[in-house]
Amino acid sequence: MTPSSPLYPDGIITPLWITKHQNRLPAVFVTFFALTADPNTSSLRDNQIKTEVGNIRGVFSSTNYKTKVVVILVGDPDTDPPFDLEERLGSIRRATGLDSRHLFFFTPESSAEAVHEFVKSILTSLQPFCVEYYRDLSKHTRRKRNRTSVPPPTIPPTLGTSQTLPLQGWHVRYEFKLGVFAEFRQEMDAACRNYESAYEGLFSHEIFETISSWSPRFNEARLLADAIAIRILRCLIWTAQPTSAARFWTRHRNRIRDLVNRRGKGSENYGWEAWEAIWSESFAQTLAMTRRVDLSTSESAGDQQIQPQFSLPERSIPIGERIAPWELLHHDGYWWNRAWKHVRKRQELAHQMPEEDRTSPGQSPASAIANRSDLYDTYLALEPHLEYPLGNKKGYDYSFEILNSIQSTTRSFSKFHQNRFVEQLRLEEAKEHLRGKRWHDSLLIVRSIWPCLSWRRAGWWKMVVEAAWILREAAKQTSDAESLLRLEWEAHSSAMPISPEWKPNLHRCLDDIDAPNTKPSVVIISEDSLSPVWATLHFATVEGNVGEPLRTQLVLVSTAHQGSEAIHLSEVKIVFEGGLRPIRLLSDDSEPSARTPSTVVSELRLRESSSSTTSTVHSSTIGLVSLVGMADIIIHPGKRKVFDMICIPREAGDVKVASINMLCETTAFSLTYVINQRISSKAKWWSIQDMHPHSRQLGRDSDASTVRILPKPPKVRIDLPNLKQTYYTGEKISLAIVIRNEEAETADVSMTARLLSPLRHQAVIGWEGMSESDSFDLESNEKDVLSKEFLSLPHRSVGLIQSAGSQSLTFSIDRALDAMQHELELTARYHLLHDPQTPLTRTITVDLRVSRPFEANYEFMPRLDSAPWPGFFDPATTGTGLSQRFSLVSKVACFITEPVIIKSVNLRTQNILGNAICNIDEEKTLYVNHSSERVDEADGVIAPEGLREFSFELLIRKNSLVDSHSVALDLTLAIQWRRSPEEELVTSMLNVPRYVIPISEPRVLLSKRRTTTKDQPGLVRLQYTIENPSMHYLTFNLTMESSDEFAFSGPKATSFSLVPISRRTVDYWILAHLGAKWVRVSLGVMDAYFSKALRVIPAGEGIKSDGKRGLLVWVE
Amino acid sequence: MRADRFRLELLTGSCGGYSAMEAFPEDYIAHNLPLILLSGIGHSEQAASESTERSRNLLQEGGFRIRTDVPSVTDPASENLLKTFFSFDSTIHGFNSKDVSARDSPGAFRIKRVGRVG
Repeated sequence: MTPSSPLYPDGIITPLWITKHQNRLPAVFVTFFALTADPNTSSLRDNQIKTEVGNIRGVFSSTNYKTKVVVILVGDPDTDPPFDLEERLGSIRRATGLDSRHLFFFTPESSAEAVHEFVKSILTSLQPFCVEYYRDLSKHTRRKRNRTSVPPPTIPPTLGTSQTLPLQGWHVRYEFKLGVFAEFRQEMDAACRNYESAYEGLFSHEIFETISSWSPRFNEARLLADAIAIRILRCLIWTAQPTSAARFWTRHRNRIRDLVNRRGKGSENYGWEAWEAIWSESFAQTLAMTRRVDLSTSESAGDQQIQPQFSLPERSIPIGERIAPWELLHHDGYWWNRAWKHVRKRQELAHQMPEEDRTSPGQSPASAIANRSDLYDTYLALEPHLEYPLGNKKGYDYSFEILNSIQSTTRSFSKFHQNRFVEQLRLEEAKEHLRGKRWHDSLLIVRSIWPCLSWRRAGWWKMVVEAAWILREAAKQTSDAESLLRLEWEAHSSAMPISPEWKPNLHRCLDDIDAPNTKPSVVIISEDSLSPVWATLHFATVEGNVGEPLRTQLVLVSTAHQGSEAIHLSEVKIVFEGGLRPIRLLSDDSEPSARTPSTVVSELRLRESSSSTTSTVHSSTIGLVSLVGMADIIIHPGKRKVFDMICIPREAGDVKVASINMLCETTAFSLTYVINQRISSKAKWWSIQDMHPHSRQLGRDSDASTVRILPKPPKVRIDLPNLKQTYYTGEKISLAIVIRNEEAETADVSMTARLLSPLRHQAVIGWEGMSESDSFDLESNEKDVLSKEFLSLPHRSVGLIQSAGSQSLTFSIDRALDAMQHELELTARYHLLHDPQTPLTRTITVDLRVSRPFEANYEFMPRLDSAPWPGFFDPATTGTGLSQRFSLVSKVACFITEPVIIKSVNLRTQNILGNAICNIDEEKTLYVNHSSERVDEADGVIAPEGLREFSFELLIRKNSLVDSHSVALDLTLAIQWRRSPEEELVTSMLNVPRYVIPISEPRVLLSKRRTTTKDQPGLVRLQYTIENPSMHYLTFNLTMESSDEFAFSGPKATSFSLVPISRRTVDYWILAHLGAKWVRVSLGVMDAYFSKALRVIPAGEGIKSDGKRGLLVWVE
Repeated sequence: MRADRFRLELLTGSCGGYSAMEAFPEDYIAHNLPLILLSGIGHSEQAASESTERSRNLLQEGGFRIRTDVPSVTDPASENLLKTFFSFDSTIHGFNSKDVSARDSPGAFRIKRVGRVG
């Protein structure tokens, strides 16, 4: 160590050492020479180059540094490279002993890309050399560090006045150097370890604790400590250890504070705050330079994605370890934000200095200066007389420093879209300007953020008030009347928690400032600002009509602070969207009196103003003559004024309140508050009840500030006097339609009708009394938008109807054979005689229900046909087929809601298939089940829900004997009925389900044979008829089952055969005991040919089947 | 040293380039990059002159000098070459691990030009 070194003899390290390595001593020395193309001088020049390179290499090799020398030969521009280039290069290389990797030739004609590639390839090849170079230096230093003794000083220290660096100091020096070399190699992990070791060594007892605080070495050591700390922080961030970095930052701060408190001048002076600010800023800048190492993992995601504002702890920190919030590394704005606060504190502390400490050293006694140096820490800070000099001399510019830091903070926070914080910072900036009495700067800032302050949207009124206060101060100082008016208007509102010393008074707020040249005019939009008065306009009804009075109500309610001054409105203007004219309420200049009740409801008569409005608020209303009313519109705090008004709409359509403008026009200023928004809360309607104002909810789904204006209502009425609740299928429906004219004049009316039905049907509609051509029958039903079938009638002129007169016509529906619910829409179109241009329409819709009048069920039973069968060999019966007899019993239920008369019931053959004929005997019996209604039986009257039974006999005969096909039978029951004897007969048809009769199947019929002897009770003669209508020769086995209920006479078991188309009867006598009852008789009949049991079919009175084996026979 | 800076700013009224890091000697805290010196290229007046007279003197004491008599190459092509070299200088760039490990980059260097008398 040379005695001239600034470190000599006990300094640890100087920044100059780094300067040497970073700026002076290269790892690689690149030297350029021109390689001439001139063959005459080339040899001379080349020799010169050889000499120079030799010199340079000689210089480097004479030192201990292993700097690489690289030679780049630049070719002659404008000429081709010399033909003997390779030879000359080789010659130079050989002469200088250069490695071939260290001699390059540059062709001047290379393109930009080629140059880039050339340089890149050189640098790439040099990179390992660089690493090697600094590794060598590291090795050298490490060897020195590993020495265990202090190197002897170059000059022995003078006793008592100087000391040497202790061993620990040497260690710190070498560790620091090792760290720097590692950083040169970009090995940040290794660098971090060396720096940490140096840092710990520096703070060890032997070093920092032994340096006295008056010594310049103390501040040098602090500087070194800070430098190492910054380097450690950089390494930590570089190696993605954000939480460790944040922790280290805090640790270093605490350590230094502890140090200056114990050994230095304490942390209660401006010097400490200066260091705090610098320490925060340094970290912010380090972060900014290494930013996005890990704060943002997705750089390419673009600005849309919000970047994380802090880093998560690194993986090396164990899960579960408690991490304080400030240990999650925030972005640089957070540290900038700390910095300016410390500058502000520095200012405060500096301003507390007594005057005698602030005199310049030349004017103060030496003892004072010595005393001062004990008190004030000037490490990285100014001396007291410069920091805050006496008199008007400029000291440290705190404001400048604070503003710079705040602006840096703002930039960082805006980058992370933390807008609320940015707003707060802007306000701080404005405050700082206020302190420095730079009113205009302050005003500019607050005015730029005031209109879009996010706190207002968030409802953070306390903060809004703070901003308002700053704006007010700045506006007062700069005579900004417009801002003052806006502020004062909003300050009146009770939602603003203003401080008690601010007594808002809109009408006097401009008194203190210089009168502006032009009258200030302010327009405030309700979205941007609160208001001391709120206005709403409601309509009494959801709908109104053109030409009819529409009731509206304007409510002006004060939301001002209690005890604040009244707001003197000069005008309230309501502008509508739609066909309603604007309304203007003008102040009637009445004397203000605060002693009115809290709510005043008054009626206001509106008249047309003579001049048209000059409204520019809503374009559709320009040029409309407005309605004007005079009213007392001075609003005291806590008061509500309600104005009932009537306006008459002139146009149909939807109307809504576009805006309500409240104007304050005085000689000094003009202020307009525009309410565009609607309040969604329940609308109220005020009225006077028992001399007191009373409000009720306007129970409305829609917004009460909208109204639908309908056209003039039609006053022609359509009545249907004889509409019945239900009609029945088959019934002809005649509807009387009465059209009444309730207009004040004669009307020319025409009618149209539409029948809408859910399904396709056959009904025909028409006007009765019109010729067939007029009656309209749409062949094809149409479908409307609701996919309903509909029939419509064209217009039918009804003619003129006098005022209060009426006209009738009849609408009819025929052939309504399907039960369904129709909808009948009747429309009367008319116009008044004097006004043919205005068509008016009245439509009514009624439901027409067409139901089934009757429902029936049917029982179809075989009967024994006693007529002889035709035979093949019987000439008399040729051409006729087999016949079968049946009985059909129908139970008819009536669903008509009134008693009706049934005239007749007929069974009709609708269709018969299978080459057969069907004869139907007339209906034989007609009886009512309900005994109570037997009275009406003779008249055929059937009550609602009455039940009747009708029985018919049918004979079905095949036309051919050889035809063995089944016969299918479709029958219809036709019921003729009427509602009353005077009315027309209605025929309602009921379809009987189809019956299929297998005519050629063998069957067994059981009937009772009539007996003449009645003497023996319990005796019945049964006749089993076995038919073989098939073309087969069949054998049947009969077995009568014995029973304990009766005794029988007849074959117990028998067998016989039947030729094709033949039948045979077997008779049994049954004698049952125990009196009259149903007796089960079971005869088994087996078709031996087909080996199939035949079912015995009941074919007469007193025999029935219950589905079980055998048949029940009634025995008397 | 902080006072010096501040007075200068007050005089010029500039606030650009303001940095708390300037409170510390720049080399003390700046990230270190391998130094590559370029010599004998470009016009000599463009050579950067920095560092105070004191540090220069201190460093030259015990240091060494390289003197070369051959003139610098200054034609436009070599100026272009010099510019290209400087484009690989990482001194003023933000530094982070991604930059250094980028595949396309030959590595981070501090590239400085010195005159012929270095």
